[in-house]
Amino acid sequence: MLIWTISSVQIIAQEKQDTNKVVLQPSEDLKVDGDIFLPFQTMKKVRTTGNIAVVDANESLESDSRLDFNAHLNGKVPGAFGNFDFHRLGDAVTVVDGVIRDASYLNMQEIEQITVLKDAYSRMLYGSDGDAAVILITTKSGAKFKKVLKFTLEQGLQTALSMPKFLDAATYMETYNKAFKNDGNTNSFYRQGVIDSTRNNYDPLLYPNNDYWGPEFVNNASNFTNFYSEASGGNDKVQYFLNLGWKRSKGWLALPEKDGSNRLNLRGKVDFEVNDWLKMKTDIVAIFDFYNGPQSSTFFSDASTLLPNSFPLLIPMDRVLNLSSLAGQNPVGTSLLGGTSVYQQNLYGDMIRGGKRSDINRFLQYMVGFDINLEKLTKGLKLSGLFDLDFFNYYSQFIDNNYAVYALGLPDVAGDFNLTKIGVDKFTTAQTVNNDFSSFNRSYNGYLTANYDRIFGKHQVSVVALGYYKQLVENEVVQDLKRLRFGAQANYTYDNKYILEAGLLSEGSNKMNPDSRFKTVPSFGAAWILSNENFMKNNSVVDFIKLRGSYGVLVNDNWTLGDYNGYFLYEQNYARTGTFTYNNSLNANSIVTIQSLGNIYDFQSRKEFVGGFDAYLLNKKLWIESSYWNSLSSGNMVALANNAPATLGIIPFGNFNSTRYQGVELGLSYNEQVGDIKMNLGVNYAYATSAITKWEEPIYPDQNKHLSRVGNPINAMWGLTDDGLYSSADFEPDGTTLVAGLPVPSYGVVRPGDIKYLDVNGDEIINSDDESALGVNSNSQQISLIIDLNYKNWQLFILGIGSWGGNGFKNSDYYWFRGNEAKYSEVALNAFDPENPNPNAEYPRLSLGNGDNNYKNSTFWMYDRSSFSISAVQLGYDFNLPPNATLKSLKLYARGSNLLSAGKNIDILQLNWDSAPQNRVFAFGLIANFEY
Amino acid sequence: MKIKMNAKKIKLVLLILPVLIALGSCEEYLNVPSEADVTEEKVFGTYNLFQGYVDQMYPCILDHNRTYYTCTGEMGGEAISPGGNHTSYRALRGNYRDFLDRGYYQTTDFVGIWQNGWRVIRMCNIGLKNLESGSLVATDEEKKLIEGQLRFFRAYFHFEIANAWGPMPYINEVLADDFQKPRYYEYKGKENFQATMEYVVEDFEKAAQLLPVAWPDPSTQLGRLTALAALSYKAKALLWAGSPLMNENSGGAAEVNTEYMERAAIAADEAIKMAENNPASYGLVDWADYSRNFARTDKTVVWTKETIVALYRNNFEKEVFSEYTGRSNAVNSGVFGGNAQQSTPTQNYVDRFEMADGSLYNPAVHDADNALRWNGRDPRFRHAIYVDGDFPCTGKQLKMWTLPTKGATIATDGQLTPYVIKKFWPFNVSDKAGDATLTLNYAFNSPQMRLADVYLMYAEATNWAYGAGNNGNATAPGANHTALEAVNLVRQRVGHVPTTATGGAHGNFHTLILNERAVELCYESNHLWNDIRRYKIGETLHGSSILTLDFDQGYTIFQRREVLKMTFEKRQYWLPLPRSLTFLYPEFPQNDGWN
Repeated sequence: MLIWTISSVQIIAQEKQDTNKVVLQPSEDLKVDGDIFLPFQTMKKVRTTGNIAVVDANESLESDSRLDFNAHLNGKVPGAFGNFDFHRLGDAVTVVDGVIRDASYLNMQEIEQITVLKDAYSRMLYGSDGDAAVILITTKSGAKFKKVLKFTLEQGLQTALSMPKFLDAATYMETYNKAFKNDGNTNSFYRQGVIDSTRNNYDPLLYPNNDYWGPEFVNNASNFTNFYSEASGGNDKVQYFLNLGWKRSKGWLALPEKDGSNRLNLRGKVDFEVNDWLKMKTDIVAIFDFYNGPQSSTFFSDASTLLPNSFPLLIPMDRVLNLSSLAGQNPVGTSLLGGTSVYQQNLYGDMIRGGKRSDINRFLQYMVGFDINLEKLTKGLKLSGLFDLDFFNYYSQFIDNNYAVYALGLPDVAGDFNLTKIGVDKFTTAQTVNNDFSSFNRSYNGYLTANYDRIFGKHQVSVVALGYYKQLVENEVVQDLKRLRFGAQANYTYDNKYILEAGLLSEGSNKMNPDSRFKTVPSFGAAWILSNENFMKNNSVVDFIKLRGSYGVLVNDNWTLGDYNGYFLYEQNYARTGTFTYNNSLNANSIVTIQSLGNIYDFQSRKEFVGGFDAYLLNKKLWIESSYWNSLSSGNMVALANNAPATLGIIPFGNFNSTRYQGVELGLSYNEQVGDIKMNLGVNYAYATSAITKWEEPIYPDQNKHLSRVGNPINAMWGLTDDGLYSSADFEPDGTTLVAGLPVPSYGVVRPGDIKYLDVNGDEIINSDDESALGVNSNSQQISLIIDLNYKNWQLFILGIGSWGGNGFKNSDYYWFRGNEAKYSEVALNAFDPENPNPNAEYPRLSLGNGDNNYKNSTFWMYDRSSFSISAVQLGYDFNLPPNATLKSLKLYARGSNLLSAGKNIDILQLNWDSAPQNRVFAFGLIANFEY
Repeated sequence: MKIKMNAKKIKLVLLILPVLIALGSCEEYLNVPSEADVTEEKVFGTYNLFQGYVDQMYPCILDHNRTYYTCTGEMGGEAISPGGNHTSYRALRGNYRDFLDRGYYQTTDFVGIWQNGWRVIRMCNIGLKNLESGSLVATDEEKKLIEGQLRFFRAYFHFEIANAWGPMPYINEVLADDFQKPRYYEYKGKENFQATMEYVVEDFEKAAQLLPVAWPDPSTQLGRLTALAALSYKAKALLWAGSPLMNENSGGAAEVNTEYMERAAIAADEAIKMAENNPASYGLVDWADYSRNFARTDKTVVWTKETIVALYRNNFEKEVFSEYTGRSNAVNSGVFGGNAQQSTPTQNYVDRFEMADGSLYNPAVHDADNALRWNGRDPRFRHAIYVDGDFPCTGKQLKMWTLPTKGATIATDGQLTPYVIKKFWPFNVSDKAGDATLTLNYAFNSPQMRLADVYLMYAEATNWAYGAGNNGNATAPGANHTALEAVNLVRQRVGHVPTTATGGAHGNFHTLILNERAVELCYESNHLWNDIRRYKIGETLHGSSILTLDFDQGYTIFQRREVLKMTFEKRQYWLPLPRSLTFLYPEFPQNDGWN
């Protein structure tokens, strides 16, 4: 605060008559000259020193009508890895109209501009919240004397990219028999006759073959509708902006009466000028999101767990001998629901008889703000303030029903049988609300800013000072999150060539010791516009080039350690954990345990440098931007299990772990017009890497030094290294004793066909000490290609995204069959067969055990995550309209997402085996724009 | 460019400043609501609350046979096991690092000396700080009780940690930031181990003044710490400080320090007097009740007039057998339950039990003598150990011959010697055989300090301080007993013959005392390990044979056989410290040989 005051005094002192106003090129190009939204101020992009990407929503929507705002960042913004991660620093925070909040409910059409802040200086004013990148979203407002009415209607279809492939009942039983045999049994578990009858579909009642992922249960396509309307306008005093959005999407389930959600977005925004120096604004948003579906919300995981051969789902009543003696039947058509006393869950029954569920999500936002123009006091001075209340309310209503299932008795000669009823049919209409599925959260945000913006000859100065308060109140959480911060940023531009920026932020957090709840950190930036130097003025190749660099220190309190979610760590605290009886049970007392000592700690910090350049070449046809980043996240809080003296008597928490993140990004964009064809081609590329520089871990003895995390990436995958499968040559004649000299696995007895591991530390035992860093679990490189073509009224947009450099472990239950109730997927067919031993089998020996040796993260299960996919394709047509018509534009379009994907392991990457499938989207839409 | 501030600009500054100052006062918005945490008043406000806080330390008192499954105090060669989880298995092989995660240094909460010790020490310091400055509303008498217990616990855990790991910083404040305390330091003119013991003794002395000789109501206050507990441990700390290993560690020669032995003898005598002056509360129990010191099946707490410090337990359940005794002691899991591997007495240890007449056991003569091999011995032998042919449960006989083939008992689970520890395993207690009711009402306890131990400590210290190391007639000034009288009190109470001032058949009074400790205190704690370390006997055992006895069912052949060569290297005199901690700061180094 003090600093800010001084700097404002200095600025005032430097003031000169602003006669010769510097005006940059009069263009709306957001890459250089356009005004862009920055934290708590707007500024021409050219005057920034940081690494900032800007997306103009209207422009982006022009050729790409996807609704999610982050679809307009991934692939379109250099440095993006997926939808939310920039520079691989972790999920970015979203800021909507100055307030830190979740933005997942926003429609792209409501948005005016998105600014992505990818360097420490640019995002410093967001303190703890801005530790990773900041996505700054500014929503639209009404314009003066321009009434706009806009409608968008989109109808689409989603098809599944991939469905899990589980074995049919006959193959399942055969596979089970193999595993059974592999475990040393000489007989078969399932008789061949049963398997054959099942395969030949002899009688599905006696030999069931349930395909829960089949069309009977899961639709192969679902559909959705998006509607969006907007009305805005105003006069010189009042401007309004209203929108209404509706989004309907159907789920994948074929059987239940309802499976789908509806979302309604409403926004009303009014800006009004009270007088010539005071402007007020209000923004009210209401979102309602309803999901209606079957009572059970676990269909997909059930479908991947329930075995194909356990019982017939439906039993036709005409084959039941004792029908008359079965009281109170509730047939499904002409059938009864099957089941056994062990398996009473019938997925068919779950879907149509289990009851209903409605999830209701409500979000309410109320925001009021003001702008005070203090031009009269001092030119260029403005005060602004804003107060915001957000309410989130979520609850689920259930109709809980029970249904009876019927177990088959032994068939008679005709193949008919008696049934035994298990359970009861109990249907209700009463709705219940389960507290486990409800929440009510509130958040309060408020800020005050002072902006000062003046030009004095060749000097241009912009200053913003800020106080920001944030509080989050959550149900049943002892301590509210509270943050208070004060900051200031100043930009000084000289002669349109040299730019210096400096800022200070004082971050306050209630997680810190009351003696020192604030910490003040600086950030700086500098840029040099070479193209405005005389020696570059007449360069025929380079139209514009700016070198930029910024360095900043950020602090954050983003930890949740200890028993109070990261709070109270500074004090000795106690917890009551039940009752302690003493005095030979005569007295009782609360057990008081010491939960933490008065830990001594500081904010976690990040020191980040980002440098790069922006350039226009070839008559502004080619845009190039590139940056290098080096970001050291240090002093991250951990329990100091290995780094605090035992004499403390308790494991303290402290600042310890550090990781350095580095990488480069490149963005290219080329515009060309040939006759009627206008094209824009873009390429964005980024490479990110990280290395842990300090880690809370044991000091490993020499043979286990490889276990140290230091030097390895933060997203390293740790596991064993496989050496293929054991062959019979690895064993003594008894088949279970490993020949002398081979390292002994500590995971139980192994046999030929089990995974053989390398003894990394050479201690002749295979255990977790033989793990090492095998790769990283997310792709380290991403490239995107953008093709945007215009021919007369036609537009074609194609976005392709490729990424590589990361790996994954096939370690889910789709690949690992633990125990004797595992559901086999098709990968089980590749298992090592002891009768036909192939040491290069793709899958180890099956067993009905827990697979303690084989099912360990190791190179055996690793797969490459590289892929390339056409994320979006859109073909649009703009109708020719008479120039004076109220209808200003009318567009029809067809679009598709995820149309085409390629990659070595695309089948693994596209498979959701225990949740709704990933999808491919086809949609048609219409956009009408009226202005009057 | 002119630098000038006109009135307008000053006005601007004046306008903005209040806004920022208003924001600045927002610091209170970051405050924490008081209901969110447990305040110290709620923990330490009244005597009952405070005593409840102290009471949570009582479960941390050690029981070496119950710190964890298959963890025992058998670290000196008194037992051997075929299984890697048993303390005795690792100890005989010198795998002391393994004790870092099992037994001594336990990573699970509420067991293990290392973690629990430091935790309780911290709790003590917090308690003492609050006693001094806090809001406790209680009578002076009540405050004395609390302070006495806190000081005892603080000293007790420092003593136990130093006993195993060597000199340690004495933590007598609530450590916050200045925690790099050196392991080696000087206090009261003493260094290292002895310096640590000086602190320990100081706290025990203070505790002895504050605590009652006996708590007024034994029916509800049994098991609480007393002045006698503090005095006994004071004697133990001094005796340890005066022992050769510890004297050498403290900068002296590897020999007995007579100054400390004098102090130890006087302290032990003080304890003995306190016990003998309060016969209603203390005394050696009769032979008939001797076993009640260790185990019982009548659903009463294992505690006698002889018990001074022990882990007070009043839970009785089958699991006491199935999880502890069964896993450590009970053989043949198929018949008796428990574990498939057991820790059983070594022949070497069995040999230490004298013959009934006080003469030594002579393998060459007695091994083959059916009348004297397992009979006609010190009565404590058959009290502590089962031999072949005994019945731990009705109808379940031990069949432990190995020639020419193994008997049913010994054939099953890989038991290495034909003996079974009986001391904590009363008749008919088993989760497979025996009597279900007895098993449900079963409890055992390994006393940490009992009166017999105090008599033997007195004898040991007095013999060195006033008898030049081999004179049982020595006596501490003003003491109730000579060293010999003290030893004979312990021997004669169990019905054994008295010994002489020169150690009878052992030929030396000190040798006799160490043997007496091995016999009287067998399997109760890590007494044997402590004794072979204190007198630096461990190294002489390196490479020595751990023996078993092979025989046939008809008792016609008896052959000794080496099961294992014992490992005891010099570094084993102290346990290794957790590795990472020794790299934290130079003043907290690893023990020699464990780097």
